[in-house]
Amino acid sequence: MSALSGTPAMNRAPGERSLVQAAALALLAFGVLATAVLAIGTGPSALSPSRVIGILAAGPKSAAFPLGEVVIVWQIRLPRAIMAALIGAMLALGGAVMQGLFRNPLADPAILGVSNGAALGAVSMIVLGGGALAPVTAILGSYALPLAAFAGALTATLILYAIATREGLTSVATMLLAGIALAAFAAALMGYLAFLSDDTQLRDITFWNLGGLGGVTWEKVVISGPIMLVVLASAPMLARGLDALVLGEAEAFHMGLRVERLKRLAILLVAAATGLAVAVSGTIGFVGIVVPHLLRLAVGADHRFLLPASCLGGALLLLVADIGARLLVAPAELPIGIITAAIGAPFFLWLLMRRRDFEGF
Amino acid sequence: MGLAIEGVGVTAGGRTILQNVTARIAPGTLVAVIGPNGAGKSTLVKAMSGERRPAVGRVRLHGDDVSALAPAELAMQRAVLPQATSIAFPFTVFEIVGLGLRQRAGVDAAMRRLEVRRALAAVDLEGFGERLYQRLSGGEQQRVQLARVLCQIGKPVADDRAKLLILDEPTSSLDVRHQIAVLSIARRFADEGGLAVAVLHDLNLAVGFSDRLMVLEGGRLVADGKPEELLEGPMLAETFGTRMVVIKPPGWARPAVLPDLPRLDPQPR
Repeated sequence: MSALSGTPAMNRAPGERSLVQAAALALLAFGVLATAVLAIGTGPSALSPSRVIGILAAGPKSAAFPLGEVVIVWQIRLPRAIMAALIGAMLALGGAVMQGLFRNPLADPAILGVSNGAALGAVSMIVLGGGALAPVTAILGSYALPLAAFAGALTATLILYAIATREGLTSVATMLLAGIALAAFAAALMGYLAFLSDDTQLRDITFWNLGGLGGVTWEKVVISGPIMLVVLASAPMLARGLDALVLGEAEAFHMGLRVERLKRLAILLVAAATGLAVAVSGTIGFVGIVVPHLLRLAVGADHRFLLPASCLGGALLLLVADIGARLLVAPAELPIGIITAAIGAPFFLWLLMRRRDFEGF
Repeated sequence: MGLAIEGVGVTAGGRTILQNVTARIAPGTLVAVIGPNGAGKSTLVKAMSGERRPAVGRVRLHGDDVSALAPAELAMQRAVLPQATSIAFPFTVFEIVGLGLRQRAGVDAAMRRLEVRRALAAVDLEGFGERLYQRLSGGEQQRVQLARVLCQIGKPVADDRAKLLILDEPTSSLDVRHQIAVLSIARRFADEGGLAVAVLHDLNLAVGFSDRLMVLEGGRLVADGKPEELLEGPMLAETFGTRMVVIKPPGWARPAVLPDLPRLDPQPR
């Protein structure tokens, strides 16, 4: 008896999924690293995985490999791969937290206008940064754009939450409709800004609307990366609270949670994750809904697992999408947002259709 | 000591929902809160659980104002079974029940498994651990929630302080056997020294299981006393606005109540 109960597998209770979840996390982490190596090897001059690993191991100033390859790996593709992984993590984390906050698997920053709010902030900075918003740019420098995106995302999330949630109850229909209106309104304002802008600004705005990882440099990684890591590191704080919130706001309070504080933190985190991602790569849709949902179906909805797993899954998905973006129309490059939307939009429709399995709205 | 409801009044949007409700509940008591729809029962539950701060008066658990206690501290002394809980994410029954143990300090994995298994056995759901909560029937979901609440509250008494178990219409979607099983759990909780409050619609369950009935009507506490005593007068019939027949089947410890159904004429042949 005691010999048997010594093994974790025998001790595991039915319905307890912590072992499977730990294994899934390890597998995802390995997947992210492996895909990153593939992504770094992909491009006009293709490099084998072993060569990529060799160049990475030798360091940025190594003479053991041709200078061209070292520059390609270290200066061009590594920062891009790091950014792809970080942005994927931000997008999926934003989605998972937003779904927990709204207690609904259909909530997603890109679908509900939060990404558009962030893009509006960013576009305002592009178009007006030299004019009306010049004092802001002067004070904040390179942080002006990410901060404007954060402010836009925060405003959108707050409006959405205020409209969709009354006395602790979130109406899904209201949430989706309010999100559509919010996204359309932000798009209208962006259209107006595009009308005001000159040719260079217009190209930047177009890029923002489609989303892409072109032009990622070490400079951008250094500016946004550390803040993204802070966001990632603060996510686990929310896990316990979001788990309790699954049952409802009153129930979460009964279980000992400070519900208002939890909701404020969750809104801040959604806005920060979305704003940071949009500031670097524009609006990339559907990562936030696809990744958490698949993980919940496959290995469980416990947020202590779901939040880190979503970060890894999002990183993995965006690295894969970025490889696709560079291979499909090589030597040119597709905006990555097109790829995630092409995968994600049908997925979203499928989700809506199979929702009838469970209770309705 | 115990639970003290002191002149509690609640208003919402200019409407009075509860008015000057005062009662004391001693440890070891199971109180049934009854009353017609819209009488303020759920609001009283919210005030007792600390979820809603009354506009007037206060609720004290062993002297502490419940709406002033930190949520985490309150959660160790009182637990609430909600009316119905639907969730949007695929959690297993084990995971939902385990949520009740999250706020308790010093619960390791082995102890969590044991407590969850015990709680599931108590609500007659052995072997349901790996089922998805969303796929269960309404009655099964209600019992899973009760198991979670039992995990949260733990023993009825700790450090000489009785804990408070609040059940808001715990039997609403249960079959007869499980209605009795669930109220037996509340009964045992009180018998072991805890404080138990249940909002009930079924008068027979209220009379049969509780030590005391609190009758609400129009936001006021119109009666408060032993079930047998309250059944003697016309009070209950007046409160619910329907005639009732009280019977005492031979061998029963307590009387039973039957609503006087309208006489249906036999169908003409």
